[in-house]
Amino acid sequence: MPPVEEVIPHIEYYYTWHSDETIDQYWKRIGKEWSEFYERFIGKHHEIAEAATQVISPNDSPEAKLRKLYARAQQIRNLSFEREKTEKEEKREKLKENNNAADVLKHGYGYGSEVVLFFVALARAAGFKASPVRVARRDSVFFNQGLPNERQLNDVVAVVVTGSTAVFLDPGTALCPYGLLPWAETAVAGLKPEKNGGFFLTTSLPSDSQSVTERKADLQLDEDGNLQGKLQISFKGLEALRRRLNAREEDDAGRKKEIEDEFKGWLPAGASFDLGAVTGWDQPDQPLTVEGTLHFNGFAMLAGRRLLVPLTFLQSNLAASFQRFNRTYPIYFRYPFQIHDSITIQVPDGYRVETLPDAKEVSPDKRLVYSIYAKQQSNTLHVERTLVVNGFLFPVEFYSILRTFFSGSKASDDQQAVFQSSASAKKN
Amino acid sequence: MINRRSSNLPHRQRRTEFLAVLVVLAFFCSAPAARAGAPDWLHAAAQQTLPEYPKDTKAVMLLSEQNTTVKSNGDIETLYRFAYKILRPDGRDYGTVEVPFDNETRLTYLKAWCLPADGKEYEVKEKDALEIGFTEEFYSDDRRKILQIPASDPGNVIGYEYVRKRRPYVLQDVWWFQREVPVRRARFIMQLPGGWEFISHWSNAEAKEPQASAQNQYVWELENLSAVEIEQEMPPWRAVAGRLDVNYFPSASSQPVNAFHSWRDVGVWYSSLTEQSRDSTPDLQQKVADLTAGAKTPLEKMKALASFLQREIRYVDIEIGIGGYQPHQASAIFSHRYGDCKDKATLLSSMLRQIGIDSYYVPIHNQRGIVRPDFPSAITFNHVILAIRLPEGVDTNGLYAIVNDAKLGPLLFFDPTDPYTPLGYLPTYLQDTYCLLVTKDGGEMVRLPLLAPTTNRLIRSGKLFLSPEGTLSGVVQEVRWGAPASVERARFLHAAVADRRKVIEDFLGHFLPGFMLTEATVGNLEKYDDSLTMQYRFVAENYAKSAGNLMVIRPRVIGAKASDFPDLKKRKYAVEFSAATLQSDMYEIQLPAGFVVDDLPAPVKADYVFGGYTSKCEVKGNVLSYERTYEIKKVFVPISGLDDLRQFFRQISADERSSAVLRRTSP
Repeated sequence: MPPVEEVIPHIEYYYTWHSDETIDQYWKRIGKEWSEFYERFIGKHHEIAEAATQVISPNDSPEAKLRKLYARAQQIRNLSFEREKTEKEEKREKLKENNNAADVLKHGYGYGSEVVLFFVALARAAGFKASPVRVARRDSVFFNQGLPNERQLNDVVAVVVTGSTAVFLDPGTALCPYGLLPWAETAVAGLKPEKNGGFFLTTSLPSDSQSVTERKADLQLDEDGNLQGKLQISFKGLEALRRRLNAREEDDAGRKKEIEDEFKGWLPAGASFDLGAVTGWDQPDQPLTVEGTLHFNGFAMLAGRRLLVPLTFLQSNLAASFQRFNRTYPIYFRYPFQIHDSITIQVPDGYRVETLPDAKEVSPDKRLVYSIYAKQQSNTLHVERTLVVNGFLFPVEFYSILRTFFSGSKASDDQQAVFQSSASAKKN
Repeated sequence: MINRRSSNLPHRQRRTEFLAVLVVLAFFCSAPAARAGAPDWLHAAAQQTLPEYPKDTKAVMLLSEQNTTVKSNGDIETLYRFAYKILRPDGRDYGTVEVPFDNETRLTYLKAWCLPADGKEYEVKEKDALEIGFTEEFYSDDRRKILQIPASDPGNVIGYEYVRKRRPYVLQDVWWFQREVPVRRARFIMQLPGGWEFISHWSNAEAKEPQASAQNQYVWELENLSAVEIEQEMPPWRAVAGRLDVNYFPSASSQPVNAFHSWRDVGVWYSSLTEQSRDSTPDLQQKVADLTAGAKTPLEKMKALASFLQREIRYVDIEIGIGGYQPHQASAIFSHRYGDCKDKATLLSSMLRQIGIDSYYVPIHNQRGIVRPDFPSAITFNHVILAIRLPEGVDTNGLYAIVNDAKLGPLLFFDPTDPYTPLGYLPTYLQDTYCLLVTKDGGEMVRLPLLAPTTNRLIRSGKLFLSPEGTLSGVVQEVRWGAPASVERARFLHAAVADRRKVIEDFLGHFLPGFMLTEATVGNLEKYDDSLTMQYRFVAENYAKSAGNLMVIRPRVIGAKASDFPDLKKRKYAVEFSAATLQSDMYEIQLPAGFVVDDLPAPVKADYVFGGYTSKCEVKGNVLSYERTYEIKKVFVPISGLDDLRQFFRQISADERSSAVLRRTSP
């Protein structure tokens, strides 16, 4: 569901010294005030121009230049992503205030918003049309332009125009890769402050293909139905960023525990996962990849002469959210995403496939796609499964479609391939 | 085991120990640091050599020290010192110090330090702390000072010390020397007035003699204690962590009532605290008369009064000073219509007295295994229930929480604070545990029974139909009594009336993807003395899966016994179930025409000391029937039984996932 504050009935009061001001006039005034503040902070400093020149080359493409400047901005020590300090620690550290972008460069540290403004200053120095944008994060409440409260615009990102396209960037969020915004800053209203007040715009929404979970399994099944083998999971885009941010204050043991706890939710009772290597925690441009060994005693069931092999061992937690028949509130997924499973199971010698479930592909709406198919190649069962949700906010009227979609996908996940031992098959 | 110690050591031994203690005290037991900078004890703790700890250890407690000075007037001053080395980011929480105090336990000193691995040390004082009122009760005078130690980061050492002064209601102390992290060194120092004695008791650790001095000072010191980490379904943390209980008292000639040599002493003390509480008023007498007017037997009257306490007296705890031990007057509780556990016990006892039935206070702990029968203690209890002396001739059928006392005869134990467990039963957390039966002339330890599996029943049966397309539909009925009924009642009654259907939907959703609930009724929801019944109808499309000319169906339609069983790998502690229980599932599935059963799951029979499981699947005509029983006989499974437990749940899990194969015989 959307954030609780968004759905509970409430009244918001506001007080103003400008009683004759319309809502539009309010935002114009706020835009001017922010513009003055930002332009004063960004300024035109020769130190910034020199810093930009140091990291880019004249032969770089515009995107290459921007990527380098983005990386330079992220080298600044980001105080917003450090643990909260006590008063005594702050006093002892004696951090100086940043009054402008040159101070950020000079001090080598800054809060997230200051890092964004520093990046805007670098980009402008390199000749780009770059601006800060005040945005309203959607993790706690949705923006209401009719409510004249500038505190709704509670974060800042950068927008840079290259050619005919505008790119939204947030170098002020640690570990956020170039080209992506943290999910709470995607598809939200933003005010681009300008001298004349500026205007509202909407930040970009990454497509489902930019938030992907890929799960690959290479497993062996024994005659008692026990399953064991390698499992590799790659998280890409927002899926990786979300996990990186959650674990940013953890050490190796803490990160390991976070992953193990998450994987427990994917596996049914009786299955366990020995976590091996996890790579990519600190490489925002790379997938976050987890490898390990799966053990699942009693995965396949012996039914007389048959071996019943479920198509997947990975549980669908999404279906559990759609058990109830009726729903009161809209459905909120945070961001569009894809899940791809590719599972290979080597069946024991002496078994041959008797029946395989039919391939299924369901798409009740262009934003929802589910498919699963199984095929046999000699003594291996290969299963491909895909789930796509290309949307993040669905009205409550859409609930029944989602419920049918996810329960149908769960039912398809629960299908079994039927194997028969060769010996018994000959007798038939 | 009880260790009885006094200061009457032989001269030679006393001198030797005195010197040893002097050395220890000179180094560790100085008064709180008065000068600036971290004290020597913290530096000494930080310089200790540490053993190698597991990689996921978030911190190590370098020192835990509790230095208690008892004065001859019963005043107690305790200096606490704690030092940690933070090993991992998760360990930063230890840098937030919370020190409790109240109107009668004064906090007279508080200071903390951080010794960074590199850099200058930090110091924070009481004036830097935040004071909050903190209580889980409705009202109490509990307060806390919260102090944030700077730079509580991995690699750094933090430490703090504080002093509390109090005049306790009981002359007892407890020293918890284990933590959720390893402890490098733990020390308990006790200074008694001349002529005082003490008895002590170790729980979950080997008993150790203290170093004693001529000044009647005793020092216990332990090193390299393992962490007591939380494991799923383990016994209560306090039931497995090491502790030392100490009771101290003046010379034998002047024994105060709050000094305990025996459980009888504890009983006498509690009896003296409560003897005036069970008063009555005309209004109260009238209420008893009204409540019992329609009751024909003493048991019916008892049930009427018990139900009144459970439903009409709100649980509200107001604990100030002695109010943590002493109940309010029955008349006041009745008048206000609220009270805490001991208040509820008091009012019920007073009401029972009016119908001629005696009853007795029973202090208890609401977690199994905390109270140790071999050491008298008042501070290990946190709850009070009632023991009701059953009148002669009462039909005990359906009364399971009975203990036969040698003097008082059959006693029925009842918890009026639990809103859903009816008279005759005991809440699961009070079963198979020790409590104190308080009588006028003292008290005695009583072990409450573990109620039999047959008293905690869940019977689920379904008559279902399978369509040729794989849709399953039909009706399921459930009957519950004992613990399964109490748990389910709580679930329904905590939900808004309009949301009660969702309780059933949430349950079915675990087993039937895409189902539709077409009817649901709950019977006897508020008749706690009767079995809770449920009936629900559903339609579940795609329940059975087609594959070619085969259809695969899971005969265990709903209900799970193995899904929540804990990970039993790498475990240090036993597994504890909440209750013994016997549960049954029976499903009859009428198969569609044109299909025959080709393969069935094999029957399962598992029998262990702690429990058993059977299941069988059969075909009679065109009906596929599945039956199973799940029984927990013993709630405690020791480490030595974990292999069996693992195998037990594996068998159940496999059975729950097993399928029958149907073959199409006609197109």
